Amino acid sequence: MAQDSMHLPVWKQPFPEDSELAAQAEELRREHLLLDARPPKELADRVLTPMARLGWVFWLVFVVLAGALLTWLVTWTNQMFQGLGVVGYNRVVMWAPYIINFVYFIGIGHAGTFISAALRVLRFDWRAPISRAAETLTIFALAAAGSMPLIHLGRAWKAYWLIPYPNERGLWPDLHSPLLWDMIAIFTYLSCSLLFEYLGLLPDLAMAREYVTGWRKRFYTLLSLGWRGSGKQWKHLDTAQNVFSYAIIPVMFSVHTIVSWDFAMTLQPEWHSSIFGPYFVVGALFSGVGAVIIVLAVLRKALHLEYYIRAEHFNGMGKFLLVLSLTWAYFYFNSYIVPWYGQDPASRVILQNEATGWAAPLWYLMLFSNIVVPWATLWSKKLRTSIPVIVGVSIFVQIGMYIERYLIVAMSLGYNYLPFNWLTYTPQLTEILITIGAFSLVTLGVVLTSRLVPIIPVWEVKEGQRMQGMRRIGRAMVQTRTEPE
Amino acid sequence: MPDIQLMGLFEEPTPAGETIERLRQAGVEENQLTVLSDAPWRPQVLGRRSMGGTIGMMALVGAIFGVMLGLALTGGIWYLYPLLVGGQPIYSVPPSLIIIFEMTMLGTMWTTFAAFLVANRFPVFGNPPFSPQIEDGMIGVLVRTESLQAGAIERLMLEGGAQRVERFEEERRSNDRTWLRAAAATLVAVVGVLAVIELFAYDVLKIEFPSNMVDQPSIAYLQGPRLAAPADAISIDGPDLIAGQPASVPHPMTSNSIQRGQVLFSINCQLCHGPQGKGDGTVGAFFTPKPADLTSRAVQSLSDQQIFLVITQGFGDMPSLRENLYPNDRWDVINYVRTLGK
Amino acid sequence: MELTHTEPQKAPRAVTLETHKWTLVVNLDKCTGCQACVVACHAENNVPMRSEREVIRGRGQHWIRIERYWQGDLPELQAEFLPMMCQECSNAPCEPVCPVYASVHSERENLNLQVYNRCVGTRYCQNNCPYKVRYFNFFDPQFDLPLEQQLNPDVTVRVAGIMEKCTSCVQRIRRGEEQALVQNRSLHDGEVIPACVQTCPTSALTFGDRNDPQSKVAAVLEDQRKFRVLEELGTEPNVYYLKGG
Repeated sequence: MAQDSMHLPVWKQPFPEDSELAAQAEELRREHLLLDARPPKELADRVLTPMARLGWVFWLVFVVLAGALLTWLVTWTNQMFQGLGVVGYNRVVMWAPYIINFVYFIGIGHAGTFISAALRVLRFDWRAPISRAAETLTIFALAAAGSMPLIHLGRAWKAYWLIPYPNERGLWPDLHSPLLWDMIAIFTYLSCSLLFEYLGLLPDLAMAREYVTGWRKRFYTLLSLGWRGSGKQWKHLDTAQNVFSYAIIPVMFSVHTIVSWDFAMTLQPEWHSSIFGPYFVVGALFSGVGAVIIVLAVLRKALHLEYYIRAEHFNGMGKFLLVLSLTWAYFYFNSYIVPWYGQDPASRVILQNEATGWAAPLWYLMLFSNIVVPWATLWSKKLRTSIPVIVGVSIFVQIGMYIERYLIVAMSLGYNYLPFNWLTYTPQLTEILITIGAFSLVTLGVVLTSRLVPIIPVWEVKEGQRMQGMRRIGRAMVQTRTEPE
Repeated sequence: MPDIQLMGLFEEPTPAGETIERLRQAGVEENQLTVLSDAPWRPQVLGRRSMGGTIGMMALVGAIFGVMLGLALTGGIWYLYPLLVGGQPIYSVPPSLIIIFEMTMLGTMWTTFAAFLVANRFPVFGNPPFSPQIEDGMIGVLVRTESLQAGAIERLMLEGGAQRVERFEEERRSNDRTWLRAAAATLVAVVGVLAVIELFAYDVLKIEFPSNMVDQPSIAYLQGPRLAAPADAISIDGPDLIAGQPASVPHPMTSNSIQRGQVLFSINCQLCHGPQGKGDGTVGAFFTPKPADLTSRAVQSLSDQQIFLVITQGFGDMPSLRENLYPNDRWDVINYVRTLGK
Repeated sequence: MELTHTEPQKAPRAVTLETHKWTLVVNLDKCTGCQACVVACHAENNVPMRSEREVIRGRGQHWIRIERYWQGDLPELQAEFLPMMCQECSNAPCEPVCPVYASVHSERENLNLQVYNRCVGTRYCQNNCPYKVRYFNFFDPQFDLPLEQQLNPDVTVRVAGIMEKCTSCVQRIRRGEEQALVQNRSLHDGEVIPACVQTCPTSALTFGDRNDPQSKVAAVLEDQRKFRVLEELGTEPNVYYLKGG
């Protein structure tokens, strides 16, 4: 008997005979995806079947988002024809809505890399089912973020001048400028995130190829590049993923640091701070993890992925969210107390404005959303694993982080060294529509991708399920962990 | 000559690994063996040795390439286009470190991906052996062998616990030659696109589209006909100009014109030039030189426009009569002066 | 009038232009805040007049502006005027942040140059300028007819999407240098002056080459009252102010 069970695939392993142990095993299986092995066909089915089922909710969402995207394009075209005067800028606050969106979306994009690369390096196996959704969010967030500097340019049709290419007039872009560092860093990050996601996607495209028919089969056959799953291919994939994981983590840190240097390299009070680098990175991870939680909750509901995405994942992400909230608070306090203590007049005015001026409601809302709400809820496992609660906390975090970017970019810029030049920025319809359009772009991208390619890395789940197990120690069934190579 | 491929499908890695050992003992070489699975198994699980790979090395090559690209970019741009900005040195070290770092990472990852594609010969052309059951979780042990040995190997696999053994003809392999051609074609296409971009950059190919500030409103009015001045406008400098016409049009010599001219002449010109225009007017006597004799050949040989200019601008001691005579009136006066010469 | 027949050109001799350290000195004692310099600058440099609505939205576009600060309380309320134009910083913070080299430094003339046709409109330069003296063309300029006939043909009319700022009337400097070059001499002091300096009714503005020890600017700069705005930021501006009484 015992010998037979050793030769059974993991999804056919029998339950322990003792009823107490069986109950514990059942509990473990319910909690942990990687202990709840099912036949590969069922795993594939759970992902692929909902993808093709397009209900009325999907179509409603699609129409609304596509409409918002169309509005985005029309508004942007109008802005290009009329000039940037339709936006709420003035002669002092010349960076506001689009740069805020730019920083925000790049921030969101960090979560994908964090989950798929950093957690992979640290061997957090529970990340297996959520990494692709996070990476997809990254890619579309970066795409939306990448469009923002274009929208923000006065002469967007000449944007290609920022690319260093040899030309007749011998003109080159200025590498002293943080915007150039931005461009190179974001290009690196976006292209490498795309390649990284594609690498991990190959085996799942091959799996999908075998289970579908029609145009989908042709599509997956083309995209899967002929993946067979030979030992050589798996080995190369592992090496490539290792290189990417280790390489993309410093890139992730560098990207948002460089974005923060757009501000830190200036003489503007409240911007000229050397803590901006790590402060922005932590803020990015913070808002990014929150966004991933929201995306996971939505995908879980929409694609009926309750088998794959379980409370344990929200638990893990919730813990990260709490740690990041603490870290963010630490960095924010740093960036607050230094100018506060120094009493530089221009900085003082900005801080007073935040504490008691017109920006006070926003500032307090930010502190509430980023500090009070996470600290009050995320210490409790019960609240972390309750999906409505943690999604609510994540939404607060998004609001708080967006306000933070607004206060840094638009509000601070209105207060500078010469008081004659203190002006306030007021958003106009153009940038509101374009911001909504950017959010729609990200959402629509994730939605469509989840319908076109498997959004769960099934092969990683399979690998995890075959490696992980439970065994009996004394009177309990405990989870055993095998280290992947 | 290996001319057939056999794939044994196993449900679990243990029988698969044991079968592989038995196949090895039966004389099957490592390079004749391929294991297909839907999720990675550690090589040791199946009794195989870990294999090395070139991808790690290529990552390093890519990193070095990236460093050189970064150095070339920073050094090159600042060498070709040395412009002073903000008191910073032309070659600034901290910004160049940032660029070099990003380029290094870019080089590493792109080269790794390219090496991954090359190592696996992706995309695979041809039709190498595969079974949909592999995606169902079966482990496929694929052996390339000669037809003579096929039977023995099939028996070995079934004894080892294979659920099924499938046979594939040798033609079912990946087509490396097509892959090479496809890869070369892609490379040529990419280089071609870059070359076309550079042709545009060097104005070899040109798309004429309006450039914003070539047509300047600040000089446009100088290049075109000027607006007509209002009817009673008095110009303070230069001749009176009306759009599309020479400096005001002489009136035809009608009797009306001459009569009008005579009246105006008696008011404006007679005092200096005298009643017959001989330059002997009462006021004119006080001038040195005397006012011109309008009946002389010197004056009469002037064109109408020249006389018009003299009236408008003045000449020597003669003042400008711009404020005394409208342009129309001036032509009438000129017509009258013509009659004086007769 | 005779037409002169031009001789076929021989190869031009090598051109070397002199270095100057163009400096503007603002005497705050004499400035009455009359804004004549603002008007003159508009006229000379084709600076568009923006509508009232735009100015209320904070987009007034004046390359030189008179900043007015109130001192004290009623009844001893006093207005202080600070004419603020591009300070032509030697360590200009607006220059290194431009990604396309539209804002570069001229070492020879010690001026900050703005290249209109290179500007893509990132607006980073104005963010980094602590004096906020750079202006962005939010809309295309509108010159009501027949005022377009008043435009200066020596100065580009900028379209929407381009940053601009006070250039110390570089077109006048260039013209002066060209004439001096043709006449094979150096520039005299006072030969090139910007429009604002030319117009100021109280002669509160002085412009010249600081390198020339005989120039009026060098003499004025001996004053003990001189200071530079926001000097502590390290921008090294080339506009000096003489403190008012």
